[in-house]
Amino acid sequence: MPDETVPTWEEVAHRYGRKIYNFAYRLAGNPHDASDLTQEVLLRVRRGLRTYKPGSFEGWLWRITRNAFLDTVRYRQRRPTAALPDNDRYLRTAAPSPDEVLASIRLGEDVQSALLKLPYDFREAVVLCDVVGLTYEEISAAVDIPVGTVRSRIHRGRKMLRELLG
Amino acid sequence: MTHVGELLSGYLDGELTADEEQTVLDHLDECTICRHELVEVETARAALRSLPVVEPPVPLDIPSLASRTRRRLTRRVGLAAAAAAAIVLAVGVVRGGPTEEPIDLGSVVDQHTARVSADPGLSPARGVSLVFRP
Repeated sequence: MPDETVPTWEEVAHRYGRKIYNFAYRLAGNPHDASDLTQEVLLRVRRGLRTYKPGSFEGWLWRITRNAFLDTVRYRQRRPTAALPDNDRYLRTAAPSPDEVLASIRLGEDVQSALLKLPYDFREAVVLCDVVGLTYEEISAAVDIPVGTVRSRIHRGRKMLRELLG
Repeated sequence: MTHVGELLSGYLDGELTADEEQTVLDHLDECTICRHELVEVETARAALRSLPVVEPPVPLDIPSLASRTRRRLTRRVGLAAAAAAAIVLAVGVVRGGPTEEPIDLGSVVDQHTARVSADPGLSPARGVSLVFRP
């Protein structure tokens, strides 16, 4: 969407609704919270559009989305139990190839439950990058952290995720 | 030897400057630890990027009354809605019988509230008459 055109509320819901929902779904891990969040974001967008001045619309939108998540979902979630250390990793012999590893991961379920075990900051960073598809610059604007911190959180989140996936 | 660490993710995401990228490539030529870390991080990245897109259950392009909005409206039309509910209840008691469907008061109030919000000119009194059954 060109920056000089301010979209209507309906256009926002239509164009970004699915992405907002997926952001919330992957962060919270359940459809109920995802729906709650999506409705809350769209409400805030509708209110905010009255005073929105053309600039970076997506930056504005993802800032709202992320703040809405913190306000509505994160603080009412029960903290997921931390993963126990995997002690039998030392018993493994040859390391499987990346293709074999990917094939053996039951995609979706395994990744989602591993995601929920990441610390929030890392989880948010990898979801914004790898699920929503934002650039580091966009994530930096949405989360209000320097680009270097974005990169660091993404990297550490991915490393941790890889460990959790076995 | 200092390792390149998070630059590996930057490299995978195409977020490095040309100089940074060259640094990473030169380092990977000589460092098996970082080559291994690159594979690990790339695996996680690929796993995340292959997560299926989840379809939202609610049609999102249809404005729906969020609970906060509903509460605000209900406060304003509360008395009229309560009156409407009371009338419906009275009608239900008078007309009662084995074939009558149970009246869902909650949905009646919601429908009434929705009607009022959709057309602010609609007076609550007129909204009440719509719930009478012939």
